[in-house]
Amino acid sequence: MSKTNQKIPNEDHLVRYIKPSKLVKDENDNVVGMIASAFSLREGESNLSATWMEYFNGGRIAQLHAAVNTIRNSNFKVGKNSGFAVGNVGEVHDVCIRCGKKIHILHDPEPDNPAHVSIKSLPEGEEDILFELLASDAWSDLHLNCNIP
Amino acid sequence: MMAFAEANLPETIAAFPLMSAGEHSKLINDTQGSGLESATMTVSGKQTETENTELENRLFTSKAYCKFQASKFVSQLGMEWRRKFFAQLDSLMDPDDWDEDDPVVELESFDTFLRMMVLLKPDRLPGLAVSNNGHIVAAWFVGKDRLTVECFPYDKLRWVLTVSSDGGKESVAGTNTPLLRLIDSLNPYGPARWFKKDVKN
Repeated sequence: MSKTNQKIPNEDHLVRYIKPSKLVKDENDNVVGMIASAFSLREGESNLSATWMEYFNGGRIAQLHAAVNTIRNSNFKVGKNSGFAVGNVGEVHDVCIRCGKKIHILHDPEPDNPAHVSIKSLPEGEEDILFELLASDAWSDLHLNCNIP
Repeated sequence: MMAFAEANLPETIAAFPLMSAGEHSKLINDTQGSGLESATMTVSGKQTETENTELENRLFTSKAYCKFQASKFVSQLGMEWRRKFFAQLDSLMDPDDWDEDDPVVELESFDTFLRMMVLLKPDRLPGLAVSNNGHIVAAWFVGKDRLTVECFPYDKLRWVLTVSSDGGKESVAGTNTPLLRLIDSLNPYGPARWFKKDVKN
């Protein structure tokens, strides 16, 4: 197991909860993606939260399901029509570096989520292109809550 | 790339003037007694409960206001647009899916969104989302090309786009863009790729 505040390896993956209000649907009510503010800090937040997928055992699908169920069982309200975005740690770093920002992705276990990760030094305010690239590129692998057992 | 055709912009949206805060309050009060609740329930296709939690009340008020205002635009945007838009609002502002920490959509943001829709008259309707500031976000995702527009109060917009070409991917953003400047801002990127159906770039 990792120590608290240990860096997450670049080859690993993060699962971020996406609220229904941040999901975009097309004219036929199909989810086609998420908006950039799904990855931006809200007022009063200093770190972005995610869950470390490789903290759990098993193959990729088993790890994703374990991460999602950990989030569901935590002190967190998971919306019925929400989603979970999977992003590669290295690609997340790359996007931020391309936008001139250096971030820190650290294991930060919480009582209700031992796989909790804090993403630190994300810019506050208007960094629209950075968050757009996270939503459209580095963190664009979206899984709907209703499709995960 | 096709330049986006421009209508007579000022007159198009001048027919739907912005409202003051006092006018908003009066309209909300009038709407709550107007029987619009029935229209809301009818359009959503299901009976809402009368349980009056604060969140449900706020969402209902916001949704009812937007539907009331949107009905004024039917002549410009069509009944089919109204039908789909109402369904989108029901989905977006479902109390069961709404995070209590999130601000409810600002009414003035709705005004800007509706005026933007009259201005653009897109063939392809946007997806709807809500920003962390409680603003309506209109999003057009077509293949790998993305356009999102956050509607601030009083006809101000914040937009970001990503377009893909043989030369790679390009991302551009604009902040505090006046509504009447949106088309000029987007024209270099071929906005017909988002707003028109069956367009090849």
